[in-house]
Amino acid sequence: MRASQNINGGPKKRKPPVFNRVMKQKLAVTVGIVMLALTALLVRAYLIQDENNEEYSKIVLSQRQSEYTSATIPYKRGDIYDRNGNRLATSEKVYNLILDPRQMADAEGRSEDGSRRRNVVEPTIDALCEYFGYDREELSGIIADRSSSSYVRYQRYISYDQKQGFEAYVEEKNAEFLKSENAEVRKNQIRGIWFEDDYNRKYPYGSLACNVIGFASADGSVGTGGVEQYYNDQLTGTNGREYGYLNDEADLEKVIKPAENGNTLVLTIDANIQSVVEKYIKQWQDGTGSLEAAVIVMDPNTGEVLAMADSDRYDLNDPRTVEGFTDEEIYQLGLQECIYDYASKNPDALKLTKEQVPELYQQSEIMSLGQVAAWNQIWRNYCVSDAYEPGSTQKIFTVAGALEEGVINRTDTFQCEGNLQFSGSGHTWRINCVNRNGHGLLDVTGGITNSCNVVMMEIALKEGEDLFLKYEHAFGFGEPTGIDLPAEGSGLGLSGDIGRVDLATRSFGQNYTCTMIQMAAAYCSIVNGGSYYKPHVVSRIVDENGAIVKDFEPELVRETVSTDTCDFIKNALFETVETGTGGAAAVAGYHVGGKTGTAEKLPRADENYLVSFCGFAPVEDPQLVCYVVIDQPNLERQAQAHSSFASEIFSGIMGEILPMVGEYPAGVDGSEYRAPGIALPESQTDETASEGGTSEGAESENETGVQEGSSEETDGNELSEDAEEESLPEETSAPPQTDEFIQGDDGGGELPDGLSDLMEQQGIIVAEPETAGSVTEEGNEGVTDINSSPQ
Amino acid sequence: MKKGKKKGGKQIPAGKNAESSAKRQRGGVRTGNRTSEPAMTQGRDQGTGYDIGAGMLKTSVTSIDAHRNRPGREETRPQRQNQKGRAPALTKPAKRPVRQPQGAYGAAAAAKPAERIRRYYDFYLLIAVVMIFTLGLLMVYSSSQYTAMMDGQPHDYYFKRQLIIGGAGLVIVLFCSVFSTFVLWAMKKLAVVALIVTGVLTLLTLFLGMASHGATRWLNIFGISLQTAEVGKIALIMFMAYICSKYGFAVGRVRNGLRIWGAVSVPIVLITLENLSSGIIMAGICFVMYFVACKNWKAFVILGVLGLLCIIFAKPLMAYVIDSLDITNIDSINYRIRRILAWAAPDRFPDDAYQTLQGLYAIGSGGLTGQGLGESIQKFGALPEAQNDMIFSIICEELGFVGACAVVLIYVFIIIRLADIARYARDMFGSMICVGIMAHISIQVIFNIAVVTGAMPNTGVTLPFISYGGSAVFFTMAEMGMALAVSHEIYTD
Repeated sequence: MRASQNINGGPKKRKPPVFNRVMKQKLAVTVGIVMLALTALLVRAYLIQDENNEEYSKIVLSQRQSEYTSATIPYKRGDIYDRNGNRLATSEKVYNLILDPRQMADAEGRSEDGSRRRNVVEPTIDALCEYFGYDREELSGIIADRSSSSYVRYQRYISYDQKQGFEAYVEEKNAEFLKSENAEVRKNQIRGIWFEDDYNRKYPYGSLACNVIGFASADGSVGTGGVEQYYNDQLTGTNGREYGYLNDEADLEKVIKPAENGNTLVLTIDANIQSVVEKYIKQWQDGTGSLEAAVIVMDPNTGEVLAMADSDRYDLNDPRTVEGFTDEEIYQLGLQECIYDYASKNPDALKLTKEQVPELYQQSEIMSLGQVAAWNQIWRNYCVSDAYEPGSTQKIFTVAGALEEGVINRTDTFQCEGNLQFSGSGHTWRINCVNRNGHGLLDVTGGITNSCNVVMMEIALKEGEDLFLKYEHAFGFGEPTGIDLPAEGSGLGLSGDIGRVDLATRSFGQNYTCTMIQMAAAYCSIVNGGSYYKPHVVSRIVDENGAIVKDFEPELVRETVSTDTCDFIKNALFETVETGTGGAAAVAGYHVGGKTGTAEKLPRADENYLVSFCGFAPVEDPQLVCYVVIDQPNLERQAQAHSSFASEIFSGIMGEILPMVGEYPAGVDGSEYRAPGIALPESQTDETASEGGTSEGAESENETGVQEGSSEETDGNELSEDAEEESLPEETSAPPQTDEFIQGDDGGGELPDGLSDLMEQQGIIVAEPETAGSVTEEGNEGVTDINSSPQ
Repeated sequence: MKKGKKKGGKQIPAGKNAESSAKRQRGGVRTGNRTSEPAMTQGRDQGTGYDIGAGMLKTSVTSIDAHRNRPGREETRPQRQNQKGRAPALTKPAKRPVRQPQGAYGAAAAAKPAERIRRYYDFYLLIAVVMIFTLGLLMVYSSSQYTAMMDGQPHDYYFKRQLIIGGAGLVIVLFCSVFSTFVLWAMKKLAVVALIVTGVLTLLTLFLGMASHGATRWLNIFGISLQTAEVGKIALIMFMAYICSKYGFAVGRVRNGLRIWGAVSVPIVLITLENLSSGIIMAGICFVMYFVACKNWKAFVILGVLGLLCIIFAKPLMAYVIDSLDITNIDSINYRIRRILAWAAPDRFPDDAYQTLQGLYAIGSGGLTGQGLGESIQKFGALPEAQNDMIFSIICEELGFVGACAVVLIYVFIIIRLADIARYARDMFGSMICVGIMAHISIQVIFNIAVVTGAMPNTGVTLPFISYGGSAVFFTMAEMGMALAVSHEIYTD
């Protein structure tokens, strides 16, 4: 029938409803099916929203919110300034380049059928390589491997200019792509790169004051060494956050909680003085050189440290690049560290020998431990962390304490015979003076100017151990000064019972240890008239807006000795430089006071010396105290023992830095100066010395004292060998210019080498075997009179 | 009557018939190679190529049926014979004189004769199209603002582009409406050429795409990039309408059917190679048009039932396949298969199911009345292609189920209007054009909503008039222009 319509549909041919009935039916069916399908789909849509409305709403909101939770705004670590406003450390705003491979993949189109909506990866890599010069293969590898990651930190510390430049470049490139004639090029787009805020710690002066400043970790949260470590809490801030939350109407609100930046430190350090100090240390190290050389410059009136440096310097911007260590040295350090490590982990086991280490530790472990040990050596702040036997610089405290207590009078005289003998339990100990022939009759000032050990011993013995220790503590020895730097040492040997021999040796600065900062701070208290200020390196903490958070006023810890005593000592120190052992420390145009020190290091048999000079200027109104320590000059044995090494450095530094604190050189004639309240003309020294009687009495007292004290000596066997004929020929070849002298017995092991060991055997600390004496006797011609050597 | 007709068909010598069909097919496919094969030229001149040439020389007054009566068309005799009796009737309508002045297409309005002809024009369709496009524009702006800014573009980048393209489309619509007669005439004449051009373009795209890394769906002509699939859809609609109106009911014959499908399968297959979804849509359009044009029911019912069964059992079957497969390396599977697998088992292919899942979240969170216009959350990066394939889910999220219903209702209205125009169109060609357009719109709407609601694997079909996309918007608008042109050819008296 349908077919008939075609052929026989006469009327239809005339009136052309070309679209015939069947077609209309079919069209209706088609429309019906379409309607059905649409209805079904609408039903499906209804069911989806009806069943899952709440659940899906939550998912949607949480997805949205999660985009915000990770946005951290980093805080800025506080800057560090010197006292003059020079920026020693700062945090530069930098940017980290973050790749978002996931975004790139998404933008290219989820279906990787080749018909990408956009080309993102290639143009982006092109742009990065072209602008930053990155390695193309590495970049493509990362983007391909981590295509599901949205955060790949590719480079840190891109400067603002670089970032801006790159962003402009990208914008320009993208605009270029969009304008392109070529449809393929038009699909190109650079995206999936963003910059994260960050800060990079910079030390504009490189290694300047490295030990005082220290360095911060890459993320700026931890400081290592110096004020960066000590004041880490102040320097760090709190990270801010950018996050979204859903308000009452379930709308997402973006909230920015800004970062709280760290506080800024203003140091007492003067960058100019510091650089002068470092220059002289470098000069010294480049010349003769030594194991260690260190200098502290302080303001005696406030306890502020103006400069602090030692010879191990490193670039704060790159603290982990350690020069001057060979692989072998690092390996040896590593072996040592492994032994310590093993001992701490297995306290009961036998101590490892170096040969055993490679069996238990891998090569890489040894090297990494050695590397750490090398770093620690370099990073260590010698000035506050290392304790050593100070030597003669101690003498003024012995005198000051005795004077203050009235044990001695200023006019007392002492007879120096070249040595002092202590005997007990059948052993006789002879402790030599620097001048083996003896200084003859000396008064108190003479004892200091000539750095006479005998005078000091006699004073100390007169004083007794209680008073001696009382003043040692008053001057801050034996305990940390509390300076605001990490890892401060306290020194050893100034507590518990001490015998007479110990007392005698301590009177001239042997057999106990102190740190440089202890010594410098104690000198400051003498120089400023008896006020012991806590040494410090930070003068002020200010917040990021410059408001003062904390101001460090000079903190008076205690009064040490009276101003009179101080004036006396200062005068003596002045005399020491003018006429005594410290002549090399004189600074043209200034009146300078100070005391030399030459300490013999443990083990005594090695004959290594630590020479030092602690002085101040100008004497009339002291502005600066400068303490120079040279540990073990690179010379043979007694050739090391020239305190003038330190004195000359002192002189050089002072000459340059005094004008920096407003003290300009004046008339060079220093003889007119007299300390207030004391009138001790040079000629008087001799007069006092000739008075002499009391000093002999004191000497005899001392001798008996030693005999009393000998009961404390437990290992007297070895020490009892009187007059052992052991010669030390080196002495003759290198006549030392020393002002104190402890001759050690190198018989092997009788004298403990480590002070900590000494401390364990309280009371044996200083046992001067007579063998030393014999040497002196034989080598007298080798021992130059100290008075003759300084100019 | 059947018998008689069959007889008529059988009267033609089998050999001649076969020869002519072979010629036609060759001619259709090889037109582009004309110069290279001079031996074939003559045969072709008498075939399809001749038709076009002749048409070009004639004025628009000539209808298709008039063509058929021209001499020198022996090879098409079976068809001509079938419609021989009808032809005079078609070419001799009562309004024949009325059409005459319009023959000077450009001067149609000016040369209007005194006799008043009331022409129909489907303003409702035009209004509906403008409405849905405007709504789409709004949604494109809402959903693309964030993406545009992330792309480093101004916030209204996509909006502006869509507006410009849509405006251009409306100009085409108006042009088609005003010069409806010319447009329809031209379409008729160019139907075959359009199909050939599509084939060539597709091949070109394919080769160019291969030359520059990877396949591409775009062709850049004089700085204008063109999605060949969109051109292909219009060309197919034109060709199918032309061929159906030419063959009439004879399209149902196996031989004719094979010819038609043979012709259309070339561009369809070529396009499917690079763009599966467009290929499916094109096949769907041809199928619907063929279905409507054929008098046969049985075969289509069987096909329909089979299709329904496929739809019903596809998902369980896929789930079974996935379970039986030992999938170790997801990336090694072809992305198209992966998408289908992801549809059946979203949890096994989280990356491929991501977009669909995000779309479902959007629909679900929209609820009945939606979050409010512009209040979508998913458009902030979570939902890829928010302004494009997935825009329906943003509509659901912002306007809710109610808004989605409204949008679907507009589509329903448009589809019904298109069906109506098809019913009352002046000639078979016009009807079939409308059927094709209706099929195109319906299939895309259904596919898109099905994908968004997770009823179908993700295929990347855009929502007509609404989704952002230059070529698609422009050509859908052009289709509307064609439909309106057809409506303008209806006389209401």
